[in-house]
Amino acid sequence: MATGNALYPKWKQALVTEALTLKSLDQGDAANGVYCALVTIGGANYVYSQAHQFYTDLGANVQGVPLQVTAPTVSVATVAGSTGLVFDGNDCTFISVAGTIGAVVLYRHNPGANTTWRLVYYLDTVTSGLPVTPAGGNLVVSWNPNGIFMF
Amino acid sequence: MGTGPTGNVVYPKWKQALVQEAQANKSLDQTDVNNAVYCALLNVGTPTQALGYTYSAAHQFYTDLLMAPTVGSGHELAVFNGPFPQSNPGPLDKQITTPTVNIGAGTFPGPVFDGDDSTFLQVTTTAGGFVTVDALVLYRRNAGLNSTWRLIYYCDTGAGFPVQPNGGNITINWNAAGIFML
Repeated sequence: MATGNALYPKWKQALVTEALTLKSLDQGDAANGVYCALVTIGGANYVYSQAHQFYTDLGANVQGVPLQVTAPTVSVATVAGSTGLVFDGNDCTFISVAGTIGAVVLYRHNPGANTTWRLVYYLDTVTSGLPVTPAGGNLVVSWNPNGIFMF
Repeated sequence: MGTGPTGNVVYPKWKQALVQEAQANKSLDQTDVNNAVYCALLNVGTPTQALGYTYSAAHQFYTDLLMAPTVGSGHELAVFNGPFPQSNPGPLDKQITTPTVNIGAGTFPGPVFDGDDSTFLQVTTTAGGFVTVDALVLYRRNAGLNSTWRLIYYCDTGAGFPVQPNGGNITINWNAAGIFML
């Protein structure tokens, strides 16, 4: 059952807290970029919680190796009458994906341990394509032409 | 020129700064007077008060609250705190004390920015002739020029607006749930 797409509140809290670091979305290098993870959800697998904060909260439910969202941009835009900040980037193509994918999670990588990689965005509700069972095939995550998310 | 309430809104340019690595002076949880959130009272433009402030999603810094130099010749402020230009907040700008950014509950997780109520002392009309307080703006002050103070939140919709200053105090009682949710 879909939870609905959501920005992790703990990430937004970090944005406005002086002492918390490694939260920007506009970095292009591999060590400090935004990454996309394919996640198996429901039951004993991952279940979204607004209390989740770091990559390790996803548990062992990430399928394959997460991919960096390349060419990241953060720009002010108006979509469907609402003006806000839009995060966007290139589509992600995952190779030879196993398992059943119920959600996509974006997180902010950094050179430290994965216990410090901040969860940014949870997405399990799309027009079509989720859940999906690629059975070893490739999986292309094609973002909305308006951008990945707005806040 | 404004034509009515814009609605309460978080400035998009501030949110943009939050997620850009090189941008500074954007946190809300600071408590010293040189690095804190402040509240300013505004007059909003009307057909008869064309010099008042009008919200724009493109506005970013404190100086955007000031009059466009090309309008009129007086360069008066819409902000009730003194003449243009200025490098420090006037006596009427109030720091938001005891600032917090907490995760909320249920379907409104936030985070929620909150702080103490603000009492503005002895508010009068300005030399520019702005006679009503129509809105308030929260901004993030820093130790530099006011051209670097980030606008955060515009509020023109709530009980009590507009207020006509008469030299008495004006108290802003924030919503019990908090000032705004990000």
